[in-house]
Amino acid sequence: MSAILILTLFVSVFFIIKDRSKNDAFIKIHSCGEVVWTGSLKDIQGERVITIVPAQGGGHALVIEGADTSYEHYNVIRITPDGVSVTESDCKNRICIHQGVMTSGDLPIACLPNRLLITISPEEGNGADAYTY
Amino acid sequence: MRTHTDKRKSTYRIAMLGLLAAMSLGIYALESLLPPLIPIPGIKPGLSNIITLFALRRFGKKEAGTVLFVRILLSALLFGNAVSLVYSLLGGAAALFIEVISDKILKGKYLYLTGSFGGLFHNAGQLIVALIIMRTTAVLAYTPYLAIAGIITGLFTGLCSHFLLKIRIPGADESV
Repeated sequence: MSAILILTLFVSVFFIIKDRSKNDAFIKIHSCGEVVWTGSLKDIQGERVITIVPAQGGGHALVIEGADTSYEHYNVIRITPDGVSVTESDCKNRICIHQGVMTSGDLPIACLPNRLLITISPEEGNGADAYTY
Repeated sequence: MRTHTDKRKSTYRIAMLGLLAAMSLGIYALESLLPPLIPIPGIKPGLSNIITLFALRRFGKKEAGTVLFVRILLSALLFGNAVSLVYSLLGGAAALFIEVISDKILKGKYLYLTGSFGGLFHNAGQLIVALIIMRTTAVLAYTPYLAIAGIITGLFTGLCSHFLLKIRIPGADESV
């Protein structure tokens, strides 16, 4: 029984090390199961700030240019050539903000209460994201 | 017709399960007040598992399931929402499922291993919910982190439960 657990630990460490060596630049912002914004880190000049408002009752998520905290639920996302970060959020635990600036090879930034996921993947259509269902 | 001891037993059981559910809810509430230990979504100590494991060892799977279900339902009503309820339900059900099996195979020994399996499966269950809600396989990037965290936190809660089970309550435990 303990062998299963130890094996799981080793496999996990292997995958973490493998993932960290990636060098991608394509940003995808998922909100409530849809890709709502895409862009490449290489194309960003200066900084770009966008606000994502999660979908309410079957609608679509809102994508607003600039920081807008007037909605009930929101995540303000800052994108610079150095990486992507969430700067403001209405969620309780603020884990998305604590995750800091995400660059290639890092874990996706997620805000579970607002159903937000930000990933950095290989160019569009390649890699694991191609299996998006 | 039920005997006097039977009645005492069932009264004790009901009181004890109510107490355990309340304790579990209290632990859950306190835990949610703690700042996140690691800035990775889905990773938390899962201290309520101490009570679930305790209920499983002391009473049985049905009782552990009841305590778990009551705690999840109440915590979602008091502190959460519909989304957090789905996460908790699937995570909790997966954890209890494997803990019952593991406890049977290990014959009640090595509770920390049972706890580890519980933590691992709890996180696996929550990852499945995340897959369904986010509708992207990108969330699978979290798998190795969640696996390691689940095993470690499960080990801790399993050990806590192991020591908790050693405490005998005078006057109460003899009647069970």
